[in-house]
Amino acid sequence: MKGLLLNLILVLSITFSVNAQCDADALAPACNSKLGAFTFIKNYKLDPSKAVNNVLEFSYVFSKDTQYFVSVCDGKNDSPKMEITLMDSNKKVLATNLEKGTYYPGIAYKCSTTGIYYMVYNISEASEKCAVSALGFKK
Amino acid sequence: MSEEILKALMQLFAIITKQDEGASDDERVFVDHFLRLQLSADVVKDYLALYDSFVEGTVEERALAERSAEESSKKKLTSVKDSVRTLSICRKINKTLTQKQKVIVLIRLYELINSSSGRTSQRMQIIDTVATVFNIGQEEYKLIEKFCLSQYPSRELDLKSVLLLIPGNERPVYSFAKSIRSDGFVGDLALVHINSVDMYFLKYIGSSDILLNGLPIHTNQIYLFASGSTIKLPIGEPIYYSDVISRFLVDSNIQKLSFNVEKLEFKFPNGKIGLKEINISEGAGRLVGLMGGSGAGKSTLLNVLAGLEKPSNGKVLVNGIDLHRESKKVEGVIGYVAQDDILFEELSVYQNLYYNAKLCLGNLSEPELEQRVETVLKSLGLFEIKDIKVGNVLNKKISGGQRKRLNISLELIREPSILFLDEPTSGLSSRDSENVIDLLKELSLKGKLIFVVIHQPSSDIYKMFDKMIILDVGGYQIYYGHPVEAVMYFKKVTNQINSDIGQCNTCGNVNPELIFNTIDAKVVDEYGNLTEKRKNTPQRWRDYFLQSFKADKAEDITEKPPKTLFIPAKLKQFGVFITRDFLSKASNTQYLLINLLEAPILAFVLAFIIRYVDNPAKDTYHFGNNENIPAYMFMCIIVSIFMGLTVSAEEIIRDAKILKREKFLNLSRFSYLISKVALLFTLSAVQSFLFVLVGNAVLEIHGLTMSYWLLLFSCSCCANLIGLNISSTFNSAVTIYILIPILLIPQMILSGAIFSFDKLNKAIGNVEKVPLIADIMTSRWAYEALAVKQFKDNKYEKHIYELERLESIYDFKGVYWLPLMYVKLDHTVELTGKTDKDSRKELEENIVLLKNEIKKAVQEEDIKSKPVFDIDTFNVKTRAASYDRVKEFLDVLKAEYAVKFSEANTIKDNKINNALKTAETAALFTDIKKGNYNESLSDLVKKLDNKNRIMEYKGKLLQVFDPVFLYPELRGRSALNYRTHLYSPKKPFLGKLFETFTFNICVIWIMTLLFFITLYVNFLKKILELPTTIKTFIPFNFKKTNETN
Amino acid sequence: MKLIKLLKFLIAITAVSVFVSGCGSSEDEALEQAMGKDSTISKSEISSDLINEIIKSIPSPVEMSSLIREVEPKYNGQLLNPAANVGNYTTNFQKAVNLGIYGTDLGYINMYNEKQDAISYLNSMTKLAEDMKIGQFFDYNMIKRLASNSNNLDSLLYITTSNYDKMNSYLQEQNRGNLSLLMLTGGWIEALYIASSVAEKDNNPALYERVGEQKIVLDQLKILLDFYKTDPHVPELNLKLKDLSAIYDSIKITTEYHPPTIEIVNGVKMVSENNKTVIKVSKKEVDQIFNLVSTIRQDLIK
Repeated sequence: MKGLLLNLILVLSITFSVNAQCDADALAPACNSKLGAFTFIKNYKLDPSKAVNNVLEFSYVFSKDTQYFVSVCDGKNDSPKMEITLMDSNKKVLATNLEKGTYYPGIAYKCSTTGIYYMVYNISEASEKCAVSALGFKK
Repeated sequence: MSEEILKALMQLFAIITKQDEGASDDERVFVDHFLRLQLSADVVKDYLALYDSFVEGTVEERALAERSAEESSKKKLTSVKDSVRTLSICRKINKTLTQKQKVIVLIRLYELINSSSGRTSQRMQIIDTVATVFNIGQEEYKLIEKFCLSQYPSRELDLKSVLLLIPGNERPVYSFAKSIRSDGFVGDLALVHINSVDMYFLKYIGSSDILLNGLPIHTNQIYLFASGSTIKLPIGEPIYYSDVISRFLVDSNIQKLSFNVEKLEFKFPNGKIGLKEINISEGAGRLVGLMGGSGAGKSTLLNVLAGLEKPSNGKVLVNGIDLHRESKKVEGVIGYVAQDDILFEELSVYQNLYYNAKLCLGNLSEPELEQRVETVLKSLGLFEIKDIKVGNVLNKKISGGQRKRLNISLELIREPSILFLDEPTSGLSSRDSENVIDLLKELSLKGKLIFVVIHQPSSDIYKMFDKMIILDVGGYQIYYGHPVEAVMYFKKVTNQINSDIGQCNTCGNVNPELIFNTIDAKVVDEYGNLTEKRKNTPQRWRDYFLQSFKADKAEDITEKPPKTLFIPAKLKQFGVFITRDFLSKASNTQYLLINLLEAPILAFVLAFIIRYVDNPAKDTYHFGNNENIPAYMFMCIIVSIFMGLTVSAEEIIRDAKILKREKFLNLSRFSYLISKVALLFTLSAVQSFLFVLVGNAVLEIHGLTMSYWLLLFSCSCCANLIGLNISSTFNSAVTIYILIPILLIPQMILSGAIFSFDKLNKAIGNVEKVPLIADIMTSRWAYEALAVKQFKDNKYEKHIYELERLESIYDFKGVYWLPLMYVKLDHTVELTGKTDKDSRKELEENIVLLKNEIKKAVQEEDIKSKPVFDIDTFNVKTRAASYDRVKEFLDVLKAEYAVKFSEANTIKDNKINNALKTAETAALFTDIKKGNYNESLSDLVKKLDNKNRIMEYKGKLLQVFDPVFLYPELRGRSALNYRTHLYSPKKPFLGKLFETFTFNICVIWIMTLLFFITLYVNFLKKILELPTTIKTFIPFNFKKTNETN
Repeated sequence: MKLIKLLKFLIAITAVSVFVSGCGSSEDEALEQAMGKDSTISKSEISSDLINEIIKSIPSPVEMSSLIREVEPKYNGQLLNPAANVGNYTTNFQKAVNLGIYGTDLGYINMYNEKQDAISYLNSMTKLAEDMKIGQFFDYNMIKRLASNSNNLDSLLYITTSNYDKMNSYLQEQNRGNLSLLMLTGGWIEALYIASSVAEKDNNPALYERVGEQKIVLDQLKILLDFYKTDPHVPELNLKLKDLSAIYDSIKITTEYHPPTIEIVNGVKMVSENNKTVIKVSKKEVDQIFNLVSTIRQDLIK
């Protein structure tokens, strides 16, 4: 009896440690298909092991007169509890997907100034830490 | 008569005739007559004029002498002058004429004297001088003199060296001279033997029509009695050359020999009776004939007696030794001349005999050998044609009779003590036949025992035999005894008239056909028509024979039988075989042309057609972009194998009959095979060389010429030996040529070039290693060797191969192996919880795989990191080698692989950048790359078309990508663990890694050696004959032979 | 006698060919010398993570291709780097840069649905990718299938862009970010080249603007390339880009800032920027840019 319990605990602990490997690549296709009318540009891997204080930062040069869509998918939830913050080249916050407690799956941004924009992802609240972000554009 | 002799004779005649009274008309008539006998009419005049001029010349001197009249001193002077002149002529003659010719000259001088007043002392003196200068011994000179000047030979010439012909009813009264009787002979005929030159001269005084070799002879003239000559008398038997010499030969040299055949029986493999109770008893010095109707068994008997076939019962005893059971003791005693032609078509008559002699008479020195060959050629009348090529039966260069004689000479040259000939006169004219039999008779007189199968002999030939054996259908011996008496016997047995007359009384002819008519006489039915049934069956004939004759058996001689075969050492045999074969091939222009031009022409056609330029706009050819190169390499190999097969396929079968004979002589098969192999290898070397030269030149393949040559040469050699094996096994050329494509096709299929080994039928194909069945194909080894060599060692790649290899290995590990390992690891954990049978099984398999792979990764020497656990104890449950530890290790590996890859990649990139620094080196770089690195080939050896790059197989993860960069695993020190994937750059063997090119070529040579061994032991033939050999062991025999009577 | 002649002939040929093959070895030595000994370059001191971050910001050429397609309906295959040039690229630098260039070309081709060209460019890209050991991301058969099928433009676009992205990510992860950078740079230069060429012809204001805006990207690239100055060819390229910068310096971009508007549309948060940007770029400048980019590009693709 004791042995069985011990085994069970061990197994469970191991099962949990499985998630140390974050395979964002596997999540990408599903995520990218959610872009809909937006043309795919690239993916960003949200690997918790690379996060600093549960925060990951990426950047991209947005062009004017173009709409962009930044989404986040973890493969399990439709709207993962990850906050995406969009900032301009001066690191001024432009938008976030968290609105009144609701996590939206992504931000659609209509750009009118060409420049570097920053996307910051906060995974502290996320149930599934490993996720992928998809970026698409539309005229 | 040669010009030299004639001129000398004219001079001498002149000197002699002008002695004393001078040239008389009689003498001139003699000279004229003499010239007419030898020359054509117009030339006679010239020589006569010459004679006259010589005589005239001396007349002037005579005039001088007359003027100084009756001065005996002057006379003496004249004769002295003449003597001096005689001396000088004779000395000149000595330099130009042979001894034989000199003897003839001497005899002619005597004849001259005889024609006129005769012998004056001066004349005799001159002749004396001549004889002295000619180095003719005193005794012989006197003998010649006596012979030439005698008018009554039968009374005057009772001398040792003389043979006289005497009428049959006279009693011999000679104490020294030899004699031949001839009934009804009238006149005086004498023959003298001049020992020093071994010549015979004939002289006839009388008025009968005597023919010498068909031409009438004149009385009181001396004729040369040459070898093979025949004297035909108006009445009585002809006198043959052999009759003459038989009287002269001394008996002391005859070897003692006994040949006894006791109750000999022979059964064919199909059970039919070949010979039935044959008894023969002979000694030395006999000529025995073997006759019989078709199917009587003559050739069979000959074969059994000669030792070629083993009898089913009875024995053949040579000097008491059983020929078949103790054959070694009787080696070299027996000679056998088959009916078949065993000549080398491309060699001359002389060469055929010469090389044969070299093989049989190894005890003779070179000059002795040449002398012997010449002698034999002369004695068979082949000397004049000695330098003519023999040709084949369809394209005769020498006549059929000459061919036959040459065949006989091959065996005759060593004068075996017992000789067997199978129909030596078939196809010969009657004169030729007589010559041959005469020769055989001569041999028998020298002490040989000769058996001859003869068919429809003429009367003369028939009578030459000492004994005759007659067989009837089914191998029954129905007569054994004196030939002429046979006629009488058969007549008597069948109650015919004149049974006491064997030969025609007046003409001396015997008709052997009579015998066979009697034997084969058919029953006549009531209507008087002949039926098919014979009056007497063979058995009855046999019974008659047994009743009429009692067999006397000769005593078995206990001395060792004389051996006349001296086979040279194996090395020397090799020398002869190879020289003979080489000359034979070299003289055959067609053969040479085809075989030497075959390779370069094929190469040119092939290379020219596939010289592909991929950029039509630029129209410059680049080796690198020629997509056909891998196929070219494949074709090279197939062509080499093909050429190797065709060149060797007919070799042994062509020599089949000759081989049979050489086996009979116990010549070394090993030497023969080695000589064939040596020649074929040389030819292959030349062909391969020409092929590579042309092909590689057209397709601009640089730098690896020697490697290509070595490889194609090895392939050709292997094919040569395969061809020789087939050649030695099958009996018809057609079968062999059908086999060639049958052999070639599997080589093409299993070479690995057309069909990939991992995509074959599961029973044959293999993903991990090259399938075993492909390993027996020469082409597979060759193609792999060439592909790897051309890729790895070409002028461009060799600088960066090692770096590319490291790149490939680490990239593969990082991109394919590691991710899969991670997946497997995770999967293992997933399965741990499950309890169903399939999952448990999968779990076990996974664990095995992980263990294997980690172990393998650990064994890599280059990897610094080692796991801190013992992988064998991997168990998901225990802490020590748990999932974490393994994953940690994998992570570490990942990092290390990335670093190593980057390193290799950087070094390579630097090298290339260095090469591109200056415009000059950049151009060199590009040129070398385009000219030496073929894209299609590299795609092939990297297996770029393969979709799967990693595969799970039998508890391992296999890399099925970039095979040319993957070193094989070393799995222990066994020699059998050489198997690995196709295009591997190195091969594992005995615990080490060897270069693929070298290793593969060694394998090909090992196969070649193996094929040589199978060739030597005739393995293939034995396998094919297995069913029949098994049959002989089966004791039951349903068919009973109809042997009731 | 014939035989002896034949033998002599054969010996002569053997001697000649051995001699000739011997001659080739001097070439060998020259090349070996040129290549020099094994050596590695010293690694950059800057952490690759940092560099990777910046690299990720370089835009994908798909955007530019999309714009060009809108503006110019006619396909001009002559603009592109010929696919056959792939045989000329031997160094990592050449391969990476041209892989990028071909990536842009392929995007351009796909926009116009030119199936034939798509396949040849696909072939060339596969080859380069294999050479660089990132061939695993090229699902050649899938792409070929899609390219042959005219209805699948979106899928095609997605696959090619996704592969391109994956290749870059992989290189960055494998500590080969320099190659990723070169790819992106090449891709960007090609995009700029095509855009400026079309702009030059069509005088389309949107294109003019887009060309003018590339200054921002150019600045990023210059910084990045600076990190890799130990790579033999990079400083040279960087120098040329500096020349390009000089032209761009004369282009003025002014922005009027206005606050953005936020809406929720169909469960998606929609944020609209309301800034007004003016880019003053003249034809002359575009021409200059075009000429310079052409020259730079020509050097890279030969």
